[in-house]
Amino acid sequence: MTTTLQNRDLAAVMARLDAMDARLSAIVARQEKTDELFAEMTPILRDVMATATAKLDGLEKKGWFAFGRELAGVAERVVEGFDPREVHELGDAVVSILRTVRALTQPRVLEVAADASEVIENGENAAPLGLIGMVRATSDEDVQKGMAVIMEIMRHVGRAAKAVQAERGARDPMAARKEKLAAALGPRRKRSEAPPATVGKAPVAAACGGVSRGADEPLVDPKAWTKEAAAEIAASLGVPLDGARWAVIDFARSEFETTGTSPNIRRLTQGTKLATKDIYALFPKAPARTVARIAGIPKPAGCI
Amino acid sequence: MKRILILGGGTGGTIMANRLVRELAEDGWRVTVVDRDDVHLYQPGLLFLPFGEYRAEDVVRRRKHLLDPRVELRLAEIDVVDPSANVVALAGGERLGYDVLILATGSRILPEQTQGLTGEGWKTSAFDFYTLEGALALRDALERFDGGRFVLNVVEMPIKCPVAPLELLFLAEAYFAKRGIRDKVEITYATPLEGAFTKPRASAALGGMLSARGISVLGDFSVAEVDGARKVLKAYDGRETDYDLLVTIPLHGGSQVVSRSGIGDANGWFDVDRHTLQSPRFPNVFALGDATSLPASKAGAVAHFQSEVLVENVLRFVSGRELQPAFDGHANCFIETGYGKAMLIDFNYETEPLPGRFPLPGVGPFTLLEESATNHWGKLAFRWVYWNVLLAGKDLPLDHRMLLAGKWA
Repeated sequence: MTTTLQNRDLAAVMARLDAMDARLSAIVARQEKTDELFAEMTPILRDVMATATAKLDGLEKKGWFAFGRELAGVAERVVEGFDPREVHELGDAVVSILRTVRALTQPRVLEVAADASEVIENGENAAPLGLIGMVRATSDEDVQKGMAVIMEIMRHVGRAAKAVQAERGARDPMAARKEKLAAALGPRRKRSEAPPATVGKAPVAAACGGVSRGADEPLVDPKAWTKEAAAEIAASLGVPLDGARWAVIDFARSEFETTGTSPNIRRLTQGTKLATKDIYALFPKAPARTVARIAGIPKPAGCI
Repeated sequence: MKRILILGGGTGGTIMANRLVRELAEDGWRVTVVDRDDVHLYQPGLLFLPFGEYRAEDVVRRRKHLLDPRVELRLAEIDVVDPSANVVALAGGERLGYDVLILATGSRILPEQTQGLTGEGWKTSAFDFYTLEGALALRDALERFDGGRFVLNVVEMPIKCPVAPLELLFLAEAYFAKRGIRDKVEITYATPLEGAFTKPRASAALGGMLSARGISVLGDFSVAEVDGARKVLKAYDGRETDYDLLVTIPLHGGSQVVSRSGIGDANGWFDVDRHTLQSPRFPNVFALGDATSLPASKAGAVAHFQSEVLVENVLRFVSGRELQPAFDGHANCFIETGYGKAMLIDFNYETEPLPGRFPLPGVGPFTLLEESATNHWGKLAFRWVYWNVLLAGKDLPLDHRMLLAGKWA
C-alpha cells in the first residue's frame, strides 16, 4: 500500500521535474541568447561609440555645440524679454524682416555703405566745411542727386514718425518693449566667456598622486635647468643654497628623472636620510613644493 | 601545465583572471588567483557608508562568485615572492610555481605610521573610511555628532582615489545640512598639497566650490602628530588645528608581500614600465592597479584601463611577441558633490582634467568638471556595472586610451 503511494508520489514528482526541466532549459536557452547578444553587441557598440565620438567631435571642433549652448542662452533671453504674443508677432513679421535684410544687402546698397564707411575711414582728407563751403558743394551734380534722394528718404521718415505719434496716443508698446529687452539682455552671462586658451599639454605626469606643472608656476624646463637658475629661484624664495640644501635638490632631480614623479616629503626624507624636521629646518615653508620649484621639476599635485 | 599566477583578487586581479582564462584556458594554461580572504569589497561604495546611503552588504561579494569557474582561487596568506626562482611561497609552506606572475596586490592604509593617530581617540573621535570597519565606525559617530569642528586630513600623497577627500567633504556638508545642524558644524580640510585644487583648469572651474559651501582649507598642512587626548592635529611647520571629529586619510603603502620579498621601493610600490606594465627587472612579472609605483591614480578605473593593455601584453609575452606600450595613464572618476549631484573627470599622464562632455562630444550624457544629476545617477549605476560587466572582464564601449574628443582644451 505504502509503496504504491510512494510510487505514485514519485511519479508525480518526476512529472513535475519533467515540466521544470523543460522550463529550466527554456531559461538556460534564453540566458545563452542574452549572453550571445551581449557578445554580439559589444564590438558593435564599441564601433558605434568610436564612430559617434569621431563625428560628434567634428561638430564640437567646428563649434556646433558651443553655438548651440549660446543659442540656448539667446532663446532664454527672448523668452524672458518677450511675451508669447510678441514672439508670435515677431514670427509673422519674419518675412518682412528678411525682405528688409535682403534689400539692405543688395550689392548696390552694400556698395554705398562700403563707400560711405570708406569716406568715414579717410575722414582726415575731408576739410572742415562751413556754410559757404556747403553752398559751393551743392554745385556738384552728384551731391545734388544725393540730396534729392536724402530728401525723399526724409519724407518717408517724417510720415512714419507721424504714424508712430498717432499710435502712441492710444498705447506705448515700443518704449515698454525696449525697457523689457534691455533688462533681459543685461550684462552677458559668464558662461559665454571663452575658456582661457593658455593651458596646453602638461609635459609630464598630470595624473593623481603624480605631479603637474601649473600654468601659474614660474618653472624652468627640467631639461633646461641649470645650477645658476636654481640659485636664482632659491634667492627669490629667500632660501640660501648650501651643501645640505643642494643634497636635497639633487636627490629631488634624480628622483624625478628616474620615476617621473616629484618627491613628496616622505620620499625626500627616505632619499636624503634626513628627518622630516630637518627638511623643514632647511626649507621652512612647504618643503616639497619649494624643493620642486628650485629643482625645476613639477610641483607635487593632486589630480584636479 | 603552464600557469599564470595572479596575486590579489581585487579589481585588477579579478578582471585579469576573467579575461586571461577566456583567452588561454583552451591552450592549456591554468589561471590561479591567490588572496587571503573571500571578501571582495566594492571600494567606491565606502564613500556612501558613513552617510547611511549604502549598507555593508551593498558593498561586498564573495570573490569566488566574481571569478570565472575555470579560474582557480586559492585562499591563503602569501609569504614571499621569489621572482628569480619563479616561485611564490604561501604562509602554510606551499610553493606555487608560475610562468607569468601578475601582481595585483593593491595598497593599504598605514594609520600607525602617523604619530599618535592610532592612540587615544582612534575609532572614537578619529576615523578612517578606507576600510569597511572604519567607514561603519564613522557612520555611527556621525549619527551621534550634533555639532563642532569636523576636520578631514590627508596625511600624504599618494592615496587611493585622490578625489575621495573632496567627495567626503561635499557629502558631509550636505549630510549636516539635511540633518539641520549645518550651522553648528565647522568643516575644515587639512591637506599636504597647496590647496584643494592643484590643476589650473580644475582650480578655475571649481576653485570657489569649497568656500561656497563654507568649507575652509588648510593648505601645505603636513601632519606631524595627532594628539588624541587634546584632539589636536599638529603640522611640521608648527601650525595646529583642533577637532571634535577627525576623518583621516592615512599614509598609504604597498602590500607587505612586496616589501617582504624585497622587490618594491621604500613604500612597498612595485616598479613597472609605465606604458607596458612589465617589470624592468623580471620580464615575466607584470603589475597593475594600486600596487605599482606609476604616477597614475590609485583607482579602479586605472586598473580597468590597464587591464586592457595588460591582457594584450601577457598574450604577446606568452607567444613571444613584442609588448605593446599602450598604457597612457588614463583615469576617470565621478566626484560626488552632494545634494544629488556629481562631477566627472577624465585625464591621463599628460593631460589634466578638462571641461567638456563625456563620452560623446557635445552630447554626454556626462558633464566633465561640472556638476550634474546625470553624473550622480552614473555613479550610482556604476555599482551594477562594476559587479556585472567590469569585473567579468566584459568590454565596455569605451576606449582605454584617453581621447581629447569632446573636451574643451
